[in-house]
Amino acid sequence: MSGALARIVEAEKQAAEILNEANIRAQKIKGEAEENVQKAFTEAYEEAIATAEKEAAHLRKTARENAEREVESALGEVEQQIRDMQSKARKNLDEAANAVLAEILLSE
Amino acid sequence: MKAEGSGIVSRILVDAKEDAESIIVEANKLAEMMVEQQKELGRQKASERVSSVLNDAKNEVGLIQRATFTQTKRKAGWAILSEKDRLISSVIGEAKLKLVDLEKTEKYVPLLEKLIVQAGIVLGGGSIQVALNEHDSKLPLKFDKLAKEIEAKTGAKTRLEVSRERLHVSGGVTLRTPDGKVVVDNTFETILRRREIDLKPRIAKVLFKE
Repeated sequence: MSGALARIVEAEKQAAEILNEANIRAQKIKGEAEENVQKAFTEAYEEAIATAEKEAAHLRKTARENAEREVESALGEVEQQIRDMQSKARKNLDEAANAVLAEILLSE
Repeated sequence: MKAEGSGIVSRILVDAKEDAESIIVEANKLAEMMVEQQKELGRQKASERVSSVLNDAKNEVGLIQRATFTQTKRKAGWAILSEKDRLISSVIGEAKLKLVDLEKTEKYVPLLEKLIVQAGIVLGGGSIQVALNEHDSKLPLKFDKLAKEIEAKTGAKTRLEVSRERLHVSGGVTLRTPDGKVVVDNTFETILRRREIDLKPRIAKVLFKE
């Protein structure tokens, strides 16, 4: 065998080894991926639910905060209504008491 | 020949390295795809539960909103009604004070006499005991004249007798049959209490006008 041919044969041998190693590594990568798919599934599943729960908690929190604001605002309006009523009552107390008296004196 | 052989050798090795690299790249792509596929499956599998979690939250939000609206409305209504009631009661109290003040005026005796005659008519005349408070028992009430007025209205011979009993009231009168079985209470406190329910709307009309 000439020197050149021998080098070619040697190179082909090396090439086969390179491809063989690559195939072994590729198998390993696939093997690892197969091992990881269950984890990926579980993580994605749990992450989706955790995100939804976070969103749900946010919805509830916002609803409660809005409700508290509504209550405060409504009660503020009621307090104002009561102040208006008290103011009118102070102004009209004497007239109302006289009306009661007149009613009683007339009818009793 | 030597240079030619060397070129082939390097070509063989370069090609092998390129093929090897391609095998690894493909393997990585496949691995990545497998993981992504599983992630997608995980998300799809979770979607039912995700919908349920979000729907529950939305329902709860609706409940919170409705409960808040109802509770606030009730609280507000209660606060206003309760204050209205308190203010109306203060008018009744004020009216009672005015009734007491009335005893210092010349209008008082005619009022008391009117209350006696009214009660006497309700009792249907006859023998009647009249109870008054300490102050009123000293007033110059014309009982004979009042008895005649009752007689005229009821047709029954009437005699009014002032009871020794003293009422602990601000004013007014209580009339009863001698056996105490029938009593007509025309004291100011009772009149106001008796009339309170039907007076309330009228008081509110005057009290809360502009």
